[in-house]
Amino acid sequence: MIVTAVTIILIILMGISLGGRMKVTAPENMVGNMFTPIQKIFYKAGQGIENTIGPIFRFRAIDKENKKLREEIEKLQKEVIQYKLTADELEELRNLSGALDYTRNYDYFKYTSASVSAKDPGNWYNIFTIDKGSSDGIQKDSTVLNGSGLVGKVFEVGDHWAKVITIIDNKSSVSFEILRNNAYMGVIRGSVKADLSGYLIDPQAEVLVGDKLITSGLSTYPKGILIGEVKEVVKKKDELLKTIIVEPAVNFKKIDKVLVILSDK
Amino acid sequence: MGIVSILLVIIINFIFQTTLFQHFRIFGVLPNTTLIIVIVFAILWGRKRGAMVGFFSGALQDILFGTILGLNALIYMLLGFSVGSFENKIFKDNAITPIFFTVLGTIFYHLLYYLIIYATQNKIDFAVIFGKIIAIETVCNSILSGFAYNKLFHYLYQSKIKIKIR
Repeated sequence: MIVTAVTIILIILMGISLGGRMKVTAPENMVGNMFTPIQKIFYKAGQGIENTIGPIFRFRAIDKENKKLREEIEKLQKEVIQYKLTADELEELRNLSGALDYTRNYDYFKYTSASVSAKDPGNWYNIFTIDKGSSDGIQKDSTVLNGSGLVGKVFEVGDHWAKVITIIDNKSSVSFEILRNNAYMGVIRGSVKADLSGYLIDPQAEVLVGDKLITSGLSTYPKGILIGEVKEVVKKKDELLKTIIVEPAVNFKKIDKVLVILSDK
Repeated sequence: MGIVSILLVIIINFIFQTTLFQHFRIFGVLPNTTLIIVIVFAILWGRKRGAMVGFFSGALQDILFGTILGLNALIYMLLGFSVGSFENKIFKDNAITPIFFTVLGTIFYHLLYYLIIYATQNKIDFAVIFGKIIAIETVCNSILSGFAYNKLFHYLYQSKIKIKIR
């Protein structure tokens, strides 16, 4: 039977492609190149429709948000003055470190910006495709982020398109450190429930609700990208490690523009 | 309906499902229109075409969004084939048939998906999947498939019958 033969071929294919490949095959690449531009147009159109219709039904929530944001602006403006003073000081110190020939332990990354062209139709994963690919220097495992924080990493690359897998998927885990005290490190991973949960390596570490997490640079992601905020700290009696639940900084439902870090490996 | 129009339906559905429909999720769940199309076509045209429709629409999904190549193609093909095997044994002129098969099909899809993901990757709690995805998706899918089937059935058969009466 044809169906049996095809089934066997497909199972073999599944085995080969498990975990992502460095390079996609020519037919896949062609299909991706063909569909991505079309999907980009429709994705934009859908977003336009949602952005016009959506606020009509949420006017009360928007009004409330408006008030909250205004209060926040006042608070932030006060902070900005303080930071400006600190920034001036930092500038001076940087100049000094340049004069002292001190090597910096962090580099500025090269970015390329890309827009989301389509999202996974299934409900299990939060995979999406972007409209840039290997011709723009994107590689497998390149880090993807947007203005608010870490989004995920590139899973597979075509010529002019790439598959991105997000950090809230249960396939990816991120090693983090706490911004307040970078001695506290741990690992978080996503789940099908589309939230992040993880644990701290040090059982004595003090984690508070509201602590900000950044990438530690130990996994495939470079150091210093915001992941999210601690929403809940769970300490079970029969477990040694503290479990934390993290609210991601990025709103994964509304992603349209992302930045991809180009590695020079 | 010729092969060209079936291919068009598959492609248009794929583009819409991955782009436009993404902005209108119900409790974070998207009704699986691909599955509905595979089942409706399988009921109307039998296992051979059902399997073909399933294979091609699954392959499209796999190429652009799959983490394991061939997973969706395999599931949709088996689904189209097995639903299509009932083609000449069932009543086709009521909407209960597609709704029944869609409910079964959605559960079958997720079970098989779960099995393969469980075997190859992380352990996932099935209760979570069921409450969060399968329950909502089954309801959405079955409602949509009833409507879709009625429309397609009328388009394919009813028009011919009317002409004969006159």
